[in-house]
Amino acid sequence: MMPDRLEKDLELIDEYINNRLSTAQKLEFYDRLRSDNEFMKLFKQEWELRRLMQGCKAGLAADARARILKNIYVQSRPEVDILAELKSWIVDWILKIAVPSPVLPYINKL
Amino acid sequence: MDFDKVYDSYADMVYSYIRFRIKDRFLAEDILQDTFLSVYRNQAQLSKVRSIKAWLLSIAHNKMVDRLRKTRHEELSYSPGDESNAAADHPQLENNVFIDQLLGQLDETSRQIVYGIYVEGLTCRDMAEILGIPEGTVKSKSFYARAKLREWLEEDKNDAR
Repeated sequence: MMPDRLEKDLELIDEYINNRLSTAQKLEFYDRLRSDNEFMKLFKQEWELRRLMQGCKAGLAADARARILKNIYVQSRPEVDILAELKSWIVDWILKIAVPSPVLPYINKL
Repeated sequence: MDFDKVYDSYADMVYSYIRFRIKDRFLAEDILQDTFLSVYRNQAQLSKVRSIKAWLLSIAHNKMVDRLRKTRHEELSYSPGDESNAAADHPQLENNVFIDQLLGQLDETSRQIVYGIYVEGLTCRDMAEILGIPEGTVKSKSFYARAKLREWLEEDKNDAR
């Protein structure tokens, strides 16, 4: 078979297998399979290779899938200013110790 | 399509693509996470891309190449799956060993192309986008690789007779 024709036939087989042909194109495809032995042979080989390659598929375990999604959400949060958080926590703590508790709500409101 | 839906629909496909090249499960999961983190941060592009599958796999491919470059991981070269010892007891695993042997004779790019076309139903245009190489190169590599695979398949059948 000529390389150009073979390349076109492979494209046609890919289109058929991936269900990208129209009904009329599919009918033409079936006619071709019936009438052209070489094309039929090529189709069978391509089908067989696909079947074998499907064994290469790997599945993601359910726990890994959930863990990864959770990590993505955690990592995508805006970065927290740790220093500012720490300063505010220390000020709160000092105020709690130094100022009598009945006064604290009034200071926090300021 | 929102991010959760994209993740649910395509995480397995992307993971499988990564595992095809990276046999280390933990490294593959790490790359998958990096890939989807990038997708999350660029989700505005989701509505603009021609093919979500090709877009996701191109991100995964770049992350994989970056990671392998950084760690100089040996898994850049193809290695048969871990299943080979159990092959005799399981027909599907026997197939895996056979296909590992066939693919092992192709170069890395051709293997990725063949995987994309045969397993994910991608086109040469998609594969060119994913691998960042010209479509013509993908076409010629795919043509040559598929011819080789058919040839080896026939040889194997003849040997079995």
